[in-house]
Amino acid sequence: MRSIRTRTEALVLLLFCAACSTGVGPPIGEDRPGDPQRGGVLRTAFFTDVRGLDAATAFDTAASALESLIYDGLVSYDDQGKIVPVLAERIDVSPDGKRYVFPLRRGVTFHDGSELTAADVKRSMERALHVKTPCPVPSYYERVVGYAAYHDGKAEELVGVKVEGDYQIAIELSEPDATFLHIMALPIVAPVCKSAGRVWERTFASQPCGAGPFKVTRYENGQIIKLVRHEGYWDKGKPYLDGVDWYLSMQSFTQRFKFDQGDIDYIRELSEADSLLYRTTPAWRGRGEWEPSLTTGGTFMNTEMPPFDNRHVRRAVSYAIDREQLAGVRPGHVRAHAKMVPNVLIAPEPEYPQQRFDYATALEEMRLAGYAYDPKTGQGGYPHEIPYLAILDSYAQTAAEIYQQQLAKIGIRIKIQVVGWPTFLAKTGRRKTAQMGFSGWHADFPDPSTFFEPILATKSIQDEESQNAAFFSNKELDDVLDRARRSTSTDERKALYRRAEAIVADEAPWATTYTYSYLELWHPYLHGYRPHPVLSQHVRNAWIDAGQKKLARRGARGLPFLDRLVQSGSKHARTTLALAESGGSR
Amino acid sequence: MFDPRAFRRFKQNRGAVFGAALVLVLVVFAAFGPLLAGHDPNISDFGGGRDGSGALLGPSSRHLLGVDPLLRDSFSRLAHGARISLLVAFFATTLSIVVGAAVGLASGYAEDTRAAGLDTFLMRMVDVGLSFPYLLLVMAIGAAVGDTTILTILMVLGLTSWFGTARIIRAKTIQVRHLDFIVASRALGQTTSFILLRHILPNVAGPLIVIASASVAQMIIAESVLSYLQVGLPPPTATWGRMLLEGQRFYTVAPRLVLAPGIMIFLAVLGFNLLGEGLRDALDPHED
Amino acid sequence: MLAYLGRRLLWSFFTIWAVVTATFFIYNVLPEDPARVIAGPQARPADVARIRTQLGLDRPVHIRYARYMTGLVSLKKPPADAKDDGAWKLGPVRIDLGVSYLKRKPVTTLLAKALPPTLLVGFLALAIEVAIGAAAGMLAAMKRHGFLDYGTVALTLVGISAPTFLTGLLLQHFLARELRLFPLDGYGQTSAEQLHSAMLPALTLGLYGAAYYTRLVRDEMITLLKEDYIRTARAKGQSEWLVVIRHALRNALMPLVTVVGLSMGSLVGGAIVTEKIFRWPGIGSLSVDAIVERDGPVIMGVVILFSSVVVAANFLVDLSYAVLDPRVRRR
Repeated sequence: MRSIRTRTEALVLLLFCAACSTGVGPPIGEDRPGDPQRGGVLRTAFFTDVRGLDAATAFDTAASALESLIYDGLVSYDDQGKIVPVLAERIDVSPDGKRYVFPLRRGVTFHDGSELTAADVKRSMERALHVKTPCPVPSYYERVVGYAAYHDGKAEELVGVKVEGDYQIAIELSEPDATFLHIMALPIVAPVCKSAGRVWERTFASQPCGAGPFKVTRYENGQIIKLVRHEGYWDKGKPYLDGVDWYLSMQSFTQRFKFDQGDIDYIRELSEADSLLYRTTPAWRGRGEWEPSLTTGGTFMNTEMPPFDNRHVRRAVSYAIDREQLAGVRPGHVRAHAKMVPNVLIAPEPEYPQQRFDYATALEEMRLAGYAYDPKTGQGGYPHEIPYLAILDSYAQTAAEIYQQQLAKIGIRIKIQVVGWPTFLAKTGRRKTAQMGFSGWHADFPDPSTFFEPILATKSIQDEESQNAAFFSNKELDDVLDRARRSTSTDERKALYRRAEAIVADEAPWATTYTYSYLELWHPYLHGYRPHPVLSQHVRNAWIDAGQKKLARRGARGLPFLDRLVQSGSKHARTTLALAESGGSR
Repeated sequence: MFDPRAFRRFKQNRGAVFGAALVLVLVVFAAFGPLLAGHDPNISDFGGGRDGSGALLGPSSRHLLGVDPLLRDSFSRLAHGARISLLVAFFATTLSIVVGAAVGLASGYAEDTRAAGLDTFLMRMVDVGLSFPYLLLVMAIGAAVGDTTILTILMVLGLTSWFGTARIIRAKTIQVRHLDFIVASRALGQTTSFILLRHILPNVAGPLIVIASASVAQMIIAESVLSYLQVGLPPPTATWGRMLLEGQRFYTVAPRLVLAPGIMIFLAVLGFNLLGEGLRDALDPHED
Repeated sequence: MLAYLGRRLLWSFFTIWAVVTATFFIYNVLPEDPARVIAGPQARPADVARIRTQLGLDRPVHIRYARYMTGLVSLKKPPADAKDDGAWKLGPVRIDLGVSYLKRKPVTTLLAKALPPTLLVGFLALAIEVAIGAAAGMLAAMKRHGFLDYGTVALTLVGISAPTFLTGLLLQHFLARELRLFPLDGYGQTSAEQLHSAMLPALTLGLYGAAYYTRLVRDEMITLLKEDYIRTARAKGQSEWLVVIRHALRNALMPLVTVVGLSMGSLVGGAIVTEKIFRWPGIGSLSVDAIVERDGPVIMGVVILFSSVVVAANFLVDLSYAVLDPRVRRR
């Protein structure tokens, strides 16, 4: 009797341990260098849904990743992040920087089989910038000649875009624009099939058609987007993949589970806990890469509302936030950051103007502001609670909870208000409404200007929907930014942006605190992919080693439960068997 | 109402006693837990929150139940969450019961009399109220108000759940109204309010208590669902639903983050359900 | 009776109208702006203003209400070349619920798409509830005071005390992740896959309901088993089972039907949390997303649908009472 009971106990213990112990499955396949193979379907997932694939209107990260597979533009970025011609054969720029000529490749076909001509390029641009198109950022193109008239609906065509024969297009600018080639690389103005129409229509978003390496065969909101190879793609031999399956609205732990089982080949949205697991599992050491981060995160402070109309209070906040502590909560993913432009774009040199953590100075600034705070007694500080806007389900929300603790130490009490995107945008964009809240910016393109003008220049201030949530107006900054955008000299621009950073660090309309990065992992049988410096999830040149994949999978991954039983079994089995034996012999 | 026989029946019902015990333990935990915790539930332990390998600290001498993803003490958060759950549940239930009973009594008493219009009107309101998608309404109001505090949640929950109570109390009131002693009372010329308060109310008190108990259980779940969907109390306030949500992403490395609040919710609801059952059996027994 | 039913019908329509109006005004008091959402945070203000005009969001509230209500149900025939905006047609009446701000699709299309998954899980859950409820309730009542009875009562208590999100997470962990019996989440493509995927959410909802219905049936059965005509049947020597099935079950199922009918609303209204856990594209997910994103037309559409179902179910229940219970007919 006793021995059976003990054996049962042992079994229960074993099962319990198996159920509780967690671990990750090994990488599937091996790194076997070789030539790219054609074939296979890449499967991956997004945590969000993708609402539409019309590049003229859908601009979020998820949509952009897919759009870069569906549409090819005149230009794009190479693996080092440099602009290279794609549908254009080359790029000719006039000496004064006001005229760009793009001779087009011949024999480029759209997904519907028709050939790409210069007229298509012009039509696509006009469609994106049309007055009736709900494009989020048409004003990027405001320096194209004739933009104002066209976008206001007064002109029938965008005169600055000139069709010069079937295979050449020229674009004229009203003044030089250092960001021009970048904005031409955006999928917004990528050539689209004639089915898109001259004027925007909502149906195109679910039936997109372009000239990229993949075309959409199935699109179900919240479920899946299926892409297959565009057989007429201009770059013969590419893409290698037969297709891409992109699951939508899949939570990160589900993604990780499927990745474990080999049902997903490449994963980006690992939770912090899971990425820690992978990073500490020996089998996965050295695999995967951090995505270079093009986002800056922090806190804005409304310079038109108390107490942030007082420069010293703002500076106190920027000194009070311990950025390393913030990063410590999500090690690896979150890195401390203290300037506007991400380090990927402008690496900080010694003495580079940045904000920093300095508790003593923070207290001093509070004193200068007239809100002296005594940490020992808890007396003083700013007397009112300040509402802090954070966005639902984001890391920013977590960060806010940390700021709360840190700012309390200098006598500023914040009350966190978690809101959805729309409320957030409405409140932060309205004059004299939001005192303080999350601020974050993702580079639209890899140029520092995108980090200053839309969010800190005076011309970005509006009474409603102000992008400049800090309502920050600084004449010197405006001047510096204007010159930098117009300039064509790299050195001059560098110096100007350095000055811009100095102004921001000093005046502190924002306290920049972190950048967020993803750990990207993929199984060894997936080749040809690495995180791209500019384009997120740029999988178009990936290929799958089918042999490797099949071989490894055949090594039977059974039920995870049993797997762990075996794994933990080897550890525990000896102990429990001993337990069981001793029970029996008694 | 406070019938000694009912009390005895209650004591003999083992399920009921167990439920009462659970509730008692919960109340004690909510009252004294935060004091015993020794850690502030909203302060992150940056220094000692991680163990040797860099993972979140589990149950240990420093933190009784380990830390949460933001390195805050789990036990303390659980205890504070208990406070909030119970406070919200009790007061929202009270609100719901008071309104529901008032409407039910008025409606039931006015039924089929000269004031029948009142009955009709109130019951129409109840109909409309019951046709509303409850959770949607709560979320929409919460979103509209923007600033969620314990008070707003309380009010929203309380004011959206009285409809069913009203119906039940109305039915009971009608039943009681036709009893002899009420008729006699009326014949004697006693005022409506007197009759309502002194005769009818004590007779509907029984079902009311039972409804209250079940209602508390439902409120606990409702509050945790609201927190889980992030339309409840704002962070960093610790509530069980929120702890469940925050812990979900770390489930694979620290299942205790999900199990602890989950089990607490379950036990709390179980306790109140058992209590309610026991009260119902004690006050209004089936003839077995 | 016809008059009674007529009155009830009229009242039903009024209820729906009241609910719709109330929701419209709550929603329109909300302080934010869908135009901004569509434009995204990176857009310039002028672009956002443009989008707002394009989508008609710049008129005062009462005009929007009037527009909305008249557009909602109309007898007008649209011009012959008008695009199909997805409006539902019931004979000459057109019901147009507008277009979702965010998904840019007609609300009716979105609802139509979300309805089959909701109904699938809903009916499956209902089947589970009723099957388990009837069977367990009956057995428990028949074997009163036995181990089965106590066990059942205990289990039902557990069932109604566990919140659906906990049950859902646990079921997902054990049955999907560990034992791989069911897919983790999602809807699936073929009918077979969909049925397979529906099992876990249906089980999650169903277990809660099953616990509830078991007690209901058990209580009813216990009372009924003491009735005279049951005792007579027993005395006549008919087998226990026949007695139960023939007489008691029929009567015990009546209140069950009522409760089932009345819970139709919650089936459609969506098991919000369950749908979130299992990534189930039903009405619940649709409504939560719409609320968070302030997608007015979708919120309105869901509310209208929900209240219509509840009101219709109530009406049908009343109707069945009127038919079955002679006392009501007299009124």
